[in-house]
Amino acid sequence: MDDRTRAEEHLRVIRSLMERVTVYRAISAPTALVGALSSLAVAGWMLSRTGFIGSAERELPMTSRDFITPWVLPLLLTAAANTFFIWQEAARDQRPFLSPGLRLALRSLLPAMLVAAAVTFVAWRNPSDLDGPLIVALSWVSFYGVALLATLNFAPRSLSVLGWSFVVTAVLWLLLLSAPTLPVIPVLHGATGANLIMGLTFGVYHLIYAVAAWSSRASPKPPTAE
Amino acid sequence: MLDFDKLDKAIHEKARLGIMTLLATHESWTFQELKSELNMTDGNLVTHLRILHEAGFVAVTKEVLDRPQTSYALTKKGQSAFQDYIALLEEIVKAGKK
Repeated sequence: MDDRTRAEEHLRVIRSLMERVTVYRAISAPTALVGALSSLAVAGWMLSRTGFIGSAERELPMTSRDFITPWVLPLLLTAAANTFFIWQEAARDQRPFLSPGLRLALRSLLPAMLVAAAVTFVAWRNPSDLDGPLIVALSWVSFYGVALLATLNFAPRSLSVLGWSFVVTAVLWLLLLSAPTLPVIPVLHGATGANLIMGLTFGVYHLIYAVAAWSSRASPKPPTAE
Repeated sequence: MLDFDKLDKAIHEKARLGIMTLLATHESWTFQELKSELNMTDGNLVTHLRILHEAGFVAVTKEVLDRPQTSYALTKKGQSAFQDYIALLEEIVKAGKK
């Protein structure tokens, strides 16, 4: 084996190791599935309350608190599921629960999540605002997308696609709400719009992501360096 | 003329290269994390870490949290040596293409 081939092999070892330890999937496929199914269930129930689904004759007024309370359930359920799956994987591989990858992901996700939490807190304190649900929903969708994009440097491509999908959807929704030349699309507004965008993004997008992440799990693992 | 003799002997061993690579990716790694990621035995890992520590490339921090824990990180000298090592490998590859 000549020097060039040996040098190339060493560079390959460095590259594959670096890629393996620096790529961190902050949201696993099972977590995304839990998030998707719980979000679709809540979206369906909420849309039936607004009259968008089912036989309700008129849309019931929905305050910020009416909107936030049921949507906290998928958040708690998904967070608990994610913690369990990470713990399970760490125990299986005999790694610490708080791995360097997880610490890095949490540090990256935190700023956008904090802003979303602050918006939610303010909306909760002003329950009479009937525009609240849509403002909260658009904040959650956009800040969640921004949070995912903050992991761009070490996330797999599918996660950055997911992040962009959330951001683009929120931006398009906002533009459609306020574009002066377009006709008004009633379902985009109010509580119906808020629950539709939540179901579309946290439900449907997560479902697509879960399928994509599951199919990519079959890819071979790079060699270890020993 | 570029050749393998110019490469740093402390790094230029596959296991130690793996350790240096991991330490270059995150601020610090615990012994267990390194062991798990590199799939090495305790004795093997201790030996290679000692060589890197004696070369001044790796700093060792011992602390007691809920249990005693040893963490490893690259020193400035280690970071610089690792960058030089990669640069030399790249030069060898480029020179071989000519």
